[in-house]
Formats: sequence, structure tokens, C-alpha cells
Amino acid sequence: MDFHTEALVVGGGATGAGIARDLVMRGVETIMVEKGDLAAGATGRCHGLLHSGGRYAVKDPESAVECILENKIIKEIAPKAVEDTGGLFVALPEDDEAYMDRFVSACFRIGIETVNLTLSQARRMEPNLSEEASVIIRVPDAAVDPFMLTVMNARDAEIRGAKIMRYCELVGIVVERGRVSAALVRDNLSGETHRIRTRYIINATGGWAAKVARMGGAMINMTLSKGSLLVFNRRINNCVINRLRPPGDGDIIVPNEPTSIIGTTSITVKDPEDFRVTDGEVEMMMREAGLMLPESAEARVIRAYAGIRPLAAPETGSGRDASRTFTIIDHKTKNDVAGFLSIIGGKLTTYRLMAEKITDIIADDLGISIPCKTASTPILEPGNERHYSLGDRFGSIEIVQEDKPSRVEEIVCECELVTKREIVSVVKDTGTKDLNDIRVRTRVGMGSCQGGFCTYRLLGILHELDMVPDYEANEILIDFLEGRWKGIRPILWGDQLREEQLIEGIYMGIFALDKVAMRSGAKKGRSK
Amino acid sequence: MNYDVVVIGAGLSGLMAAVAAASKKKRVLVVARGMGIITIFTGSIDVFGYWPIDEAKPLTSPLSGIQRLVRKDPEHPYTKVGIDAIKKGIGAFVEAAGKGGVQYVGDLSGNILIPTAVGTVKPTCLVSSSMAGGDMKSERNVLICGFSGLKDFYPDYMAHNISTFEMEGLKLPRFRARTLNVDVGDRTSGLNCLTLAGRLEDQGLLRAMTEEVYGHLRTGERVAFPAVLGIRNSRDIHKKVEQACGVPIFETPTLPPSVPGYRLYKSLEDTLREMGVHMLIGYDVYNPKTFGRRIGEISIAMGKREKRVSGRAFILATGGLVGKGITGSYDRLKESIFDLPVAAPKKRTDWFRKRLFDPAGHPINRAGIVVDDHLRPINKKGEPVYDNLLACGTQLFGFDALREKSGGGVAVSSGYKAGVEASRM
Repeated sequence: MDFHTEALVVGGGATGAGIARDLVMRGVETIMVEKGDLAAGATGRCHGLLHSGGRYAVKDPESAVECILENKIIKEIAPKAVEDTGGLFVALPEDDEAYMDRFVSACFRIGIETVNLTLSQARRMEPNLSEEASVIIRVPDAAVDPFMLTVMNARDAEIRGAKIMRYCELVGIVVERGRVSAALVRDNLSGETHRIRTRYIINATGGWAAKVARMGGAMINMTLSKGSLLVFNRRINNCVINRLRPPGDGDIIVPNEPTSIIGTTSITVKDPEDFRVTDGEVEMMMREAGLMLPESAEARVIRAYAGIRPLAAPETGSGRDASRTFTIIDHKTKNDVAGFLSIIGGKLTTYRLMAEKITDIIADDLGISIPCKTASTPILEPGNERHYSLGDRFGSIEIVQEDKPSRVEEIVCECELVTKREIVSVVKDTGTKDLNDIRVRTRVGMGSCQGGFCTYRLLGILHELDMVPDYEANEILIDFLEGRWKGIRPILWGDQLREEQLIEGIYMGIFALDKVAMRSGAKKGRSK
Repeated sequence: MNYDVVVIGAGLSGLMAAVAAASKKKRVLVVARGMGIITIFTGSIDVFGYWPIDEAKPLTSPLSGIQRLVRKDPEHPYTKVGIDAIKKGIGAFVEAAGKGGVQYVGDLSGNILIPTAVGTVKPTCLVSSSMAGGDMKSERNVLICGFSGLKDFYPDYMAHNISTFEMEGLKLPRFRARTLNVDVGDRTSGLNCLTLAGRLEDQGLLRAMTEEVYGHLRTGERVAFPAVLGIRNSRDIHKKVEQACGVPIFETPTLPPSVPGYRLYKSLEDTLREMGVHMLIGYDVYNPKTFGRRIGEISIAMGKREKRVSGRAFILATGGLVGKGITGSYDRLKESIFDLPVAAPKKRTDWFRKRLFDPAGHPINRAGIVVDDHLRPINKKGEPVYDNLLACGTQLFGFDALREKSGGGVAVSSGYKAGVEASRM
């Protein structure tokens, strides 16, 4: 099929969705393509931290300024995706005292509000905090749901007229007389190839940016930096906890819904899909978490995952030294390809600013004088909606039951209290059959058992709705379990090992899927 | 308290050990924290489904498979138990479960092929009479009935998938699905199989369900249900529904909690009480007192009330990782009560293979306690750690219960053998 548009955004992460929204808000006709599901790259594999900028205040003040400004804006325009937890910077006795003074004065200069807390004040907010903590400083960090933020931006853009094409992968860029004229896009579900005629192509593909640039005959110098994270089965901290020292590994713990997440590492990699978490990384993060929150040693780790940061930096030194600010490359000036722009670097916290800056260039080129309004326009909902908590969810489920005892809400996912009705409505609204689509929209399967129990139920419900092709369901289940395995294998010890053995018992012992996997593995030639 | 045989653990192997020891007229105590993993799994007894484990075609006969195995694999629990004890153990199991009210069908000479809730077909050796009608060697078509509101069984899923299932030499009948609309009552937080099974003991509900099923039936069909047809009265209920429908009906195992597993536990418990065995469930066991190579006493406690128990022989049947007989710290596996040596790959990163579904199975699944031919745990030198301690069941080293489909058979036969050995001490 052929499409025609003014601007084609490539990449459905937070940045791409933010750009699509900004473009349509300024009256630019827009299509966004994403090769998989929304937020499937670095966005969905990040820490879910809305930075106050404190982390970068000393070494990377430019990035810190961007963070604190955007921190305030995101809290205003997307309250539903933000849990305003606040954050603490915590120094332990072995940490450098000189850094603490530099930290406070840098925050002051940049405009990041800090409050010094005594240990007893801090432990009232954060009972699990180590008694060893010597200096504690409060900052306006927050937790943000990267899936929801991206889905909200994409949906808002769609309502305003953008076309969002998921599972559509860019496979070619047509350049005519030094200017992009069209893109070739393959629908990964149907296999069909579309031609999209466009004046601009905006490359917001994160780790894949260099590859996409090459399709248009352009070059990008960038470094890929892997950051690994571990998810705890329960929420062991109330606010974001940062180690008060120069940014290093394993020194931030972010509360995320009913879980806590520790990260990160920074390892230079070649492949944007190198998501392996090593045993060394796991060991280091467990040790670091224990120093700030001794309670973490008692908690179960339910998953390990990694994301790839697309850093705008030459390949020297460690990824930690690279600035976390972003870079826009206009390939007209660098590579003589007009209408082709790439954006790399940056952070989830600054996605909106990144979108604003790149949209400014296109608007300017098109002679549009409408200013950017994304900093003051709430996404989707008027700004009165509050972030949800598990407790609130339970309350709302009970109320429904009192009103209509005959239409009780069945809970499908016990870990995250997701009801059958929510799943059915996502399936009906979006027409999706994809487990991951449903997962990011409802949090089904994201809790302690990591989908071990509810994925079977989810597939059962899809069958009830006649939404799964007959021949695929058990293969979908097997692929899901193999994908889940990658995140679980590095962290199997203690109770999590026990739970995993139970889940293996269900799928191999009760359901006997192992022999089906052998057969489908042989069919797909992936047996080794 | 003083006993001839003290069995620690009330899963399938512990209960069978108690059956064997009690039938030798010994004074037997079963002490356990809970029911073990018996209520997680299907209630049917998998003896030997696949061997070697990466074989795609199921064994026709568990017995001939085991006969080949014992010649090749000296480490396997079946080799240690021996063919004779395996045969006797299976016989004792069928008898003990039958006495407690659950009839088992099948024998060691042939595997039964039963359908699962995800639409695969699984070889197993013994099934309760409530599942016997599901044998896939029968060509009778199947109507699968699920329940609206039951969150752990989806008839459409099962029917759709089984229509594409392939197994060498097996021609499957046709399957179709219906979700029953009969009002099964409050669904707060979703209904699991055990709750529904309790409700179906109500005559009115059962009648309404049966009428609805009858309305959907076509000529020549049999009916599959999730395993929810009653708990204590399941035999009556099965008979009633079968008579009212006029066709064979059968139960299909699905996600835990497992109703057939629970029925099996209850039947063995009844038989053991009848045999005069003392059962203490809900107790922690710890602090064994040893004299050289003998165990003299253990402490047991429920809450703060601690008791000492002495015995001539002790049988460890506390299960593997799921049953908590073995626990895994960051880099080591540990036996929970006697700190017996656990054989496992040294490095945590070697416990698992890269792919979950690797046909060779994960090394950790074979981890466990190494025993001699009398089922006494042994140390690295091959000597018994204690002269009067025996181990049985899932916690034994050297087999992959999940991929071989051998968990039930190893539990039954090694439990039986441990009970017999203990009676001689």
C-alpha cells in the first residue's frame, strides 16, 4: 500500500511518540512507524526514573538543568504516568565528603531543591534505609511508568491526527536529488511492504539509529551502552534512593508499582539487542543494594533485564563519562541528505524537550510559526487524574462488586490485580492479539510470578474472544516462556528458584509443553 | 514419643513409605509441614513417559523402558530401587489409594495418553478412574466443557490447540468446546478449581450443570471437564453425571490447586489412619540428635509447643526445591533438616541451560541426594551418612522428573522401598 505524509517518525519509544505528538500539534502531517510494539526498546527497558537532575548536577550540569525543568513539566502534563515519590541521595561512611558539598552547591546553582534530613527523619519516610547512612539529602526525583507515558503520547498524537503504525519496520529510504522522498516499510505481521512518501524522516530509533542512518546514506558516530537492572518482588523503598557519590554502578533504587528496581550498569556493547545480564552484574547490584537498603537481601529478585543507551559519544572511556544530554543530527549539513534528521542520547526524563527541539527544526523549515505547546498541554487527560496504586485498584474492584454483584470482576493476575474486564477491553479497543501489548497496557504478568500463572489465563481469554489463530497459541506460550526465561535465569536462587521450579513443573509436568517445543523448535530450525 | 519408623514429609513418597512400613506391622509416625507437592500436580502417576529424555516419542510401556534404563544408568533412582520394588510399590499404591476411595486405572505395561488443558497429549501410567475416559487411544470425539468464571481452564484454548497437536502414531479424535453458563456462585477474585469442586458437591448445582451439558451433546461424543467434579463425593458425582449424560465423561488436569491431587492425598491419609499410622501435619522438624552414625531423635514443633520424637529408623521425604526439602541459597543447594550432601553443579550459572525448553533438561533438575541401593544417603566416599536414615522421592539425585515424566513413579516406588528397608532396621 502507498501512504503519503509530511513527516515520518521512525521509532515508537518515548522520544518517537513525543515527536509525533509535537509534530501534529504544530499542524505537520505525521506517520510514526515502529518495528515492534511501543516502548519495546530502551524506553521499556529503562529504570522508570524521572530524574531531578541531582545525579548529573556535579559532572554534567547541562543535563541536570534539562532534567529538573522537564521533571516539573512531566509531573504537570502526565500525572497519570508519574508517581511523585520524591528521592533521597544517601552517603555511606566510605563515601567522599568533598563530593557531598559539591553536590549541594551544584544543585543550588542549577535550581534543584534540596533538603538535608537527619537519619531519624529519613527513616520515618524510608524505614528500610541503612542505619549507616551518614548524609541524606532529599530531591524531587519521582518514578515514571515509561510504557504508560509512551502509550499516552502515541494515543494523544493519534487522536490529533497522526497515524501510528506498529509492527512496521523501516527497510529502506529513497533519496532523490539529495533529499529524502520516501521510505519503504515492511509490516512484520502481514509481511506486506508499504511505500510511504514523505518530506522528512526523523530517526528516533535509539540503539538502532546508526543502522537507520546508513539506510539513508548517512553516518552517525555513537556508543551503545548496556545498563542492567534487577526487579525485586516487593516495594522495599518508598522514594527513589540514590547513592551520594559520583555516578557509578548499582547506585539507584526506584520504587515501581508494587516492586523496586535497582540499577544500573554501563557496559559498552556492539549489538543494540545484546540484552544479556551477567552473573557479575547481578552480584554487584545485589551487594550495592544491600548497602543502602539492607532489607533487599531478604527480598526476592524476580527478573533481570537490560536496556541499551544510545550515547552520543566517541568510543573512548566508559559510558559513565558520556554526557546524558542529547544530540540532533541534521544529515543535510553532515551528509548532504536533506529532510533526514536523527536524534540520539538524552534520557526518558528529557524526551519531551528532545521532541520539542527536533520539531522546531522541521517547523522552521516548513515555515510554521506555531510555537511548541507540549510543555503546557496535558497528555490525553485533563491534569486531574492521579497515578494509581495497587491499594486503589483493590478498592475500585470491590466497589464494582457492591454495585453489581452479578457482574463480579474476575482477577486474572493476582500479583498486579488485573481483572478480566480490563484485559477484554484492551483487546476489544486495540484489536491486539499480542501478549506484550496487553502486558504494557494493564501490567498483567509484571509482578512476582512474572506471568508464570496468568499468561495461560490470558491466552485462554484471547481464545474465548476468538482472537488467537488456532495453530499458534502454544507456540506463542512457548515463545513467551522462553523470552521470560532470559530475564529470570540470571537471578534464580532462594525463593525465586523455588517458584521457578514450580512454574517449570506446571508447563513441563502438567501441560507437557516440552515436547511441543521440541517439535516447533525443529520446525523453525532453532533447536540449537 | 517413640516409633519404629518416623517418616518426615507427607507427599506421595512419604505417604507410600508409611504405607509400606505400616503393612509390616511397624509403629509409624508421619510428621510434615504440609501436604507436599501432591496438590500441585495432576493426581495421575507418571512412571516413565520419555527415555532418553530428549526423545520425542513416548514410551509405549513404562516397564520395558525402565528395564532398559537400569542397564544403562546406575545413578537413576529406578536403578537403586530395583524392578521388583517398583512393581510391588505400584501395586501397593493402587491398593492403598483404592482403600481410601480413589480407584486407579492402568499398569506398568502400558502408558495411557491423556489430553491436557493446553491441548497437548501426555503419557502417564496410572490415572484415577475420573480421568480414565480421556485415553486418546479411544476414537470417540470429545466435547470439552468449561465453566464461565473458572479462571484456570479454557475449553476453546484446549480444543483449538489439540486440533494441531502431533504425536507419532496417534490419530486424535475431534474436539469441540463449550463454556457452561450455569451460575456457579460468587466469583470474587476469580474461581479456582478447588473452590468450584467444593461447590459442585451441591446437588442442585450439579443437576443444573448436567442438564446444560446434556443440551450440548452430539451423538458419539464423550465429555471432558476440568478436574472439578467434587472432592469427597467425586466417585458418586462422576457416576451421576455419566449416567445422566449417557456417555463417558472424564476430567482434565489444569493449573494448581489440583483437585485430583487433593483427593489422592485424602485417600492415602484415610488409609494410613485406618492402618494406625500417626499423622502430625503442620509441624516443623529440626534439630536432629545423632549418636555417631545413628539418628536418635528429632524435634518437632507446631508454634511453640516442641516435642522430641525418637525412632529406630527415619525416612526423609521432604521433597525437592518446590517441596522445600532442598533450599537454594545464592550459590549452593542445601538439604533442610540433616544438612546432607546435595549433588549439583558447583556454579550457579551452570544450574540452568540457556533455553528453558532445552530438550536435555536443566542440570539442577537432576540435583539431589545421592543414595545407596538401600536408599541410605551417602557421602562422597560412598558410605552411608547415617545407618538408620533413608531418603526417597523428588529429592533423590539423578533423574529429571519433568522431562522423563517419572516423578510419580519415583515417588511411589522409592517411598515404598524406603518403608520396607526401614521396617528391617
